[in-house]
Amino acid sequence: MENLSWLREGKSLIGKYQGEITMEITQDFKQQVEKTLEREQADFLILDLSEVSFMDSSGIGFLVACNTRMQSSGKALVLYRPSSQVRKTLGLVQLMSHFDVADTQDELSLRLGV
Amino acid sequence: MLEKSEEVRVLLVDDSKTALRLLTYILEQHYKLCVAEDGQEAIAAHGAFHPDVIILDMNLPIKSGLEVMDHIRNVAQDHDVQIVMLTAHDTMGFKATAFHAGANDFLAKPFDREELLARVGAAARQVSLTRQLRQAYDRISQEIDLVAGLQRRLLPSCTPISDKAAVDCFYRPSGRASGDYYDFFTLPDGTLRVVMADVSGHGARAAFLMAVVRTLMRVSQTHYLTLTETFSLVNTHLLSTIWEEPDFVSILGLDIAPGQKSITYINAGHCPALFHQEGQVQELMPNAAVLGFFTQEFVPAVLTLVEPASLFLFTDGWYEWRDKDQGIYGLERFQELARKLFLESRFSLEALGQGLEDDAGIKPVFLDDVTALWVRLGRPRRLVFQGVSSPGNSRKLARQVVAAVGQWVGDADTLHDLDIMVTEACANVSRHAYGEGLGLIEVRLSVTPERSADVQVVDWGKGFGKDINFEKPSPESECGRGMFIIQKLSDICDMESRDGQNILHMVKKIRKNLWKT
Repeated sequence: MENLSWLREGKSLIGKYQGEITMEITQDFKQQVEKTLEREQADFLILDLSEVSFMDSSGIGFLVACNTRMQSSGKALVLYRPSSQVRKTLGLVQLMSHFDVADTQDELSLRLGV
Repeated sequence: MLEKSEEVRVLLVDDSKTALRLLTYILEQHYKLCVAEDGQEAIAAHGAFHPDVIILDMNLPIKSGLEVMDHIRNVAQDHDVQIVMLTAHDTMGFKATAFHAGANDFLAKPFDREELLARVGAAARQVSLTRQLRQAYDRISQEIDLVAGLQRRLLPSCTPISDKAAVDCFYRPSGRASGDYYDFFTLPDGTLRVVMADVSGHGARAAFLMAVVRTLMRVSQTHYLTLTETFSLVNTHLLSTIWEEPDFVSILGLDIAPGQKSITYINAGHCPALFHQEGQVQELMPNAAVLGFFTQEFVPAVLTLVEPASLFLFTDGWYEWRDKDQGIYGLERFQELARKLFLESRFSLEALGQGLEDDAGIKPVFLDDVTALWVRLGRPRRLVFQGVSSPGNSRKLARQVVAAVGQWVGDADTLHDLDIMVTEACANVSRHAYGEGLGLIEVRLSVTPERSADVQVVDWGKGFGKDINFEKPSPESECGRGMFIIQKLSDICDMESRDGQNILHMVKKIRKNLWKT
């Protein structure tokens, strides 16, 4: 996936995606996350969603799946700086509070305990 | 004579080592050589050595000389290499077969040294001529590419002109340089001038004349000439350059004055443009003869304009192509198709292309340049979009709806709501309506200014299925939120099935202050 970039920082794996998260790409996105997590063995998966211009319900499904996967292995998913479009879609299904969200670098550092 | 730089490569194929040695001895001073001892080796050497000439014995082990030739001509598609067959059977029947299979010359075994040199020399001259031809062709081809590249720059790219007017373009030259010309620009008083023209013929000559016409048209912009003055100017210039030549130009030019409720046009022998407004489609028929033949007076026609309206200007390439039965598709059929799309509110250049394919039952193979302009004036209240039920099309259809409503409503949040609603509805169709297969999704948009946007998402399959769920799924669920979201974002949301159609109807009420004036 061209518009997905990964960065490793300590125990966290940071994935930044630019563009639309829709049915067209969620399968692919999910596989990329699985593959990268297997390779990197991170405690925190941080998804930088600041440049996501649109997200549909399959995007919600994808985030829920990531969250479940991380929690079941005793790890955590943090949504970092979700764009207003992402907030709206998550807000519609009242899932904003279901996710751990960090809106600033400080908030993120607090979550990661660094 | 061949120049030294023009090295000729000769592949010698014979199963007799003695014959190969003799051939090598005679030819090695003159040519670069490679040898092969059977048919299989010959094919491999052809691929690796790229010979210009092959001396090919016909009686070879593994693959015969005829099989080798068949491979070179029909599989490798090498029609340039000169093949001189070498055989002891010089019966007429065999020679004819070998020539049919692609041999260029024949040499009987046992061969004479001088005859061998003469025949290979003749083949080498042919190779040299082919090279020269190719170089000349490449040079001309580059020139034409330059012309085509410049020509492309003479055509405007299509962007919305204002919030209430937009032009879509389609341009597909048949050769690399073309005689079709389209243009649109604004005159100093704000009048939008639109031009569609077709210069007879193709290639560099047509491209040159097209550039002349374009320059004169643009002069009309800077010097603020009326349509009548412009057409007279173009005609006079063409008469002075191509008079007594067979070339001519058909042009349709039209002016849409700002705020004025009329369209003025001159159609000089061009195929009639279609003008759609108030549920009717009319043709802008020719009211002058083609330009470049004789002097003439131009009298523009005037039509009343009531927005929203749209104009479709095109060239004959759109309908002069052969359908399945080898008949010409034809202007009448083409106009009927365009008219139908207009009346069903689903006209677009893309829908027109698809419509041609559906109507003719084959993908059109266009013979001529294909050019079109679709000018939209004012904001339509009703539009219909179609697409195949693929995931990508859900977004495309949603974007089309958002763009259309965006002409009316400026509020980004409302447009984002609609974007999500239509994406979810179309995604549901592509997931459920047609099982594993694909089918048609139609999105019907109807705008009621200062009140609402109504969207119907239609399929002709199974619809959304019985187990459709409007409830909010549990937080851990990975799917099933689409309908819940649609319901949250819309003011009315219902479903109905009738006449084989499954219709999801969504209404988004939009507050008065969010509408553009």
